[in-house]
Amino acid sequence: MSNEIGDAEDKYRRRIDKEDDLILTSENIVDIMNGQTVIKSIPVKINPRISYSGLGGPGGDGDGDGDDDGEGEGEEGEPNNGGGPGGKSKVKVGIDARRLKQIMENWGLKFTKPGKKNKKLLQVLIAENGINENQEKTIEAMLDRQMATGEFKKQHGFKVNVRDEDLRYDFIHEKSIPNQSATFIIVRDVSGSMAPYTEFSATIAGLIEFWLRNKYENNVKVRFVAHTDVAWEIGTKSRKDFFKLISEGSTAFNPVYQTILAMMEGKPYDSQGAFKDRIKYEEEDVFVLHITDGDNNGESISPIKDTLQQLIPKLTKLFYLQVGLTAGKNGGQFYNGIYMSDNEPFYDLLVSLDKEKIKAVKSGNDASYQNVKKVLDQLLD
Amino acid sequence: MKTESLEKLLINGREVKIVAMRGSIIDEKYTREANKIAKFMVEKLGLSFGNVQFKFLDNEEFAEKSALWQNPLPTWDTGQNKVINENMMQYRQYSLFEQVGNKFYAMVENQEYTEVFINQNDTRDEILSVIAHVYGHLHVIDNNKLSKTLEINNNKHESYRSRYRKIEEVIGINETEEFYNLTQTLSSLVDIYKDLHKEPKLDYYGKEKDFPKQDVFDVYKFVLDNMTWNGWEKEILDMVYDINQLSISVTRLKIIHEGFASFVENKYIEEVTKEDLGLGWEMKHKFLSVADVLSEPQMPYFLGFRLFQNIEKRWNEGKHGPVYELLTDEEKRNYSKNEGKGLEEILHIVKHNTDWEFIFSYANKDFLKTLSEEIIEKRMFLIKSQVEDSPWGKWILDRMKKTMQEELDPDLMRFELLLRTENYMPMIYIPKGEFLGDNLPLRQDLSFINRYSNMLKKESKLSEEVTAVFSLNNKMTRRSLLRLSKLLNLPVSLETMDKKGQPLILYVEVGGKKVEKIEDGSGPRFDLEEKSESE
Repeated sequence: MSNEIGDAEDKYRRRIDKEDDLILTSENIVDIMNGQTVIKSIPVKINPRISYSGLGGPGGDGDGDGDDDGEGEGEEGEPNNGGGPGGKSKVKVGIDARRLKQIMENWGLKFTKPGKKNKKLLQVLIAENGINENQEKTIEAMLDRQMATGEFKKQHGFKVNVRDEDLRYDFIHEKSIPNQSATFIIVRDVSGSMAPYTEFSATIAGLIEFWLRNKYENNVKVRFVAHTDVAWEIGTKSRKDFFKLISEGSTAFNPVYQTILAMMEGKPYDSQGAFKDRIKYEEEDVFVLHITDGDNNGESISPIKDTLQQLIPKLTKLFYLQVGLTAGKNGGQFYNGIYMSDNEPFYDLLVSLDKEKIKAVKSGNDASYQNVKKVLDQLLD
Repeated sequence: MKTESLEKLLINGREVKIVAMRGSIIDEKYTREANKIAKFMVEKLGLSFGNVQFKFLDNEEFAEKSALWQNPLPTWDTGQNKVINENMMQYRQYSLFEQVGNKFYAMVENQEYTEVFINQNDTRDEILSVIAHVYGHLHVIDNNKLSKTLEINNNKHESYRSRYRKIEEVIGINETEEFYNLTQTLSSLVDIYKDLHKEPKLDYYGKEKDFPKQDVFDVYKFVLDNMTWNGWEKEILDMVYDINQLSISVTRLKIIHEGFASFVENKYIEEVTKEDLGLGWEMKHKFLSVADVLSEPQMPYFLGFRLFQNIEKRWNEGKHGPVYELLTDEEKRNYSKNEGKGLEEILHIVKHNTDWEFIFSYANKDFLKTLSEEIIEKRMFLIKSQVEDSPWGKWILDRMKKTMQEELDPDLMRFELLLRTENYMPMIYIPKGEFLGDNLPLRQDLSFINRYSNMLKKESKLSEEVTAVFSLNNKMTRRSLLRLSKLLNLPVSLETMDKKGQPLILYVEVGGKKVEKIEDGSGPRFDLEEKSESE
């Protein structure tokens, strides 16, 4: 066995034992042994695929015209139809004795045909699913015992006598699997005033996504929502365009959070993407990054507060990044040259709502290492 | 010991190297034989191919290589293929075994080689015929228009394997396998007829809000692009999609591949017979037991080989073309014109056709008639042995023969032959503008029936025989739909027909355990015109 195929053969054996919704059939191989026709059936599982019903494939409803051109041995199909030579006495060997043979050879023993003698061993080998016996170790333990007690004599060959004390089980390996996955929703204000901040917002969003992918072993789905005074989802296909998107319109925040709420509850919402997958907030962590310049024109606060109070319990974290503030010379803060008061209703509302889940930062349009680090430190602390 | 010096083998002015290896050692005897056969192929028959490295492998290695060629990922079904292959070889179920592997780059020689695996347990005559057979395959791979477009990159597959293992390690084998199985079901929605479904040019500034903007035949790609997936899920989907591209040339060139290889092999055996009658007889005997047996797995060999022989004869005698078709039956029988263009025509066919084009434009009514007579004869032989003793035997046989002769209609027979070689998968598409995001609407496409035969023109409705063949209302499809809705977490509906040709919609809800049958909808698409409107 080479490295390339690895343990694919063992996977196949386990798959045959498993109960699933695949189709179980068998591949028949005809051989002649001691003048008898032996049909060896290898169990085969097939993945169901959409297919025509006409000529009746395996698992099909199969009322085809039944024309079996039964020529040649080893033809695929039902065993009744395969016209093997001298087809009267057929012995059916149901199991694959390959593994048994390997073990026996390792012990320097001869392998005989499965008969009465070896019946119990065969039972062990084809033990049903769920017993989780380690068959190889069981047989080795049995041989060990027989050698130690003198029961085993080489001239008489190998006697199968599995006792309870010989049974060996596999250890249950518990492995922590990073089951948790996350959805990362990037919300971006695309109104005209956001045009200068595309590069900066893409940097921050990309770094947070990178951080999440590291944390969740790559199990992160990213969704994009754009908004002006209305909000809509953008398909994953147009990811590159998302940060370049500029649209006309003023800014409002309530529609954004209502859209996210709708995405979680499976209600209708505006979308340019193809699929409207519901975000399963019960099963996975949900992160939201909202990038805006905070320039909402006189939107009243109380409806946003209601929406946020419904939304926040379903979120893991909400990052709010307000761009566009540059520190003025006199310590005051400027937005595009116009002085803004420190008391912004929306920013203050966010900060006051939930200090654990909501992280809000204001930043200038500065994509330097220092500033990006500062922003990320504050957001992801 | 005196050894023959090897002459250089030139193909299109380029030197071609052919080596036979056992492990890491060159097998001189078979290297010489393989070169000799290659020379015959190139000079007498006009084949062309690149450097070849034959490798002799034992059963287990061979089975493994062959399984990995079918599916490069180390999954359970690769293991399954390996077990089946190995057992078949062990019990010598079919007498010939060869596998054309991938191309690889030999760094030292600065040359590209194609690997070919040969079972080392074969006898000398078997190995010689296998080598001759393989040159046929190599010619098709290098020259066929469809085959040329598909590049197989061995290194890429190696990286796929290691990525898959890594995902198994992180996510867990069970979960990865469950997802992999679902992608296999989705694989039946890959479009393998891309040349038939060329995307029309769209008006970039068009204001239509339809989604999708045209009929989508590659549903797999559509789902892959437009749905949100976890990172590892997307990676597996990507890999499986890429691997599925391999199956395009396998399914669509089955008859040409095997038929041409058998044809070439037969030519070589005839050549051997001139020098060594005993060896030639042995090879011919084994060859006929593979290529001239009418059974399901050997159908591509049988059909292709017969048809190529028929074409060679027709073109050698000049029995083709529009003038010939105008003659009466008696005139056709007496017609003879020594053209000798048989081989030329065959090389032309191999270069420019896929199986469908091959069967529909070259299998004429006379060929199908002789073929059907042969099929009836073989079937009757089987039935005869069963009913001979009974007093009603003769009556039953007469009756059977009559119905069988009625059944074999040449138009239908072409489709039946192709279906028997598993040459096409159902065509399914998402109709233009019908996708709303919360449901996956699928519809069956049967317009190819019209494209390839005039069955629809004769009658406005398909006969029951045909609808029973092309209906999708069966267990396999129903199971697949259930699994699809499980994978996509969306309701799935499929417009098709039942076995009597009545329109039917199969519908599955999210988390549903049963497929609902709704007798409604417009059924599968039949008209080509519908398509031309959208273009």
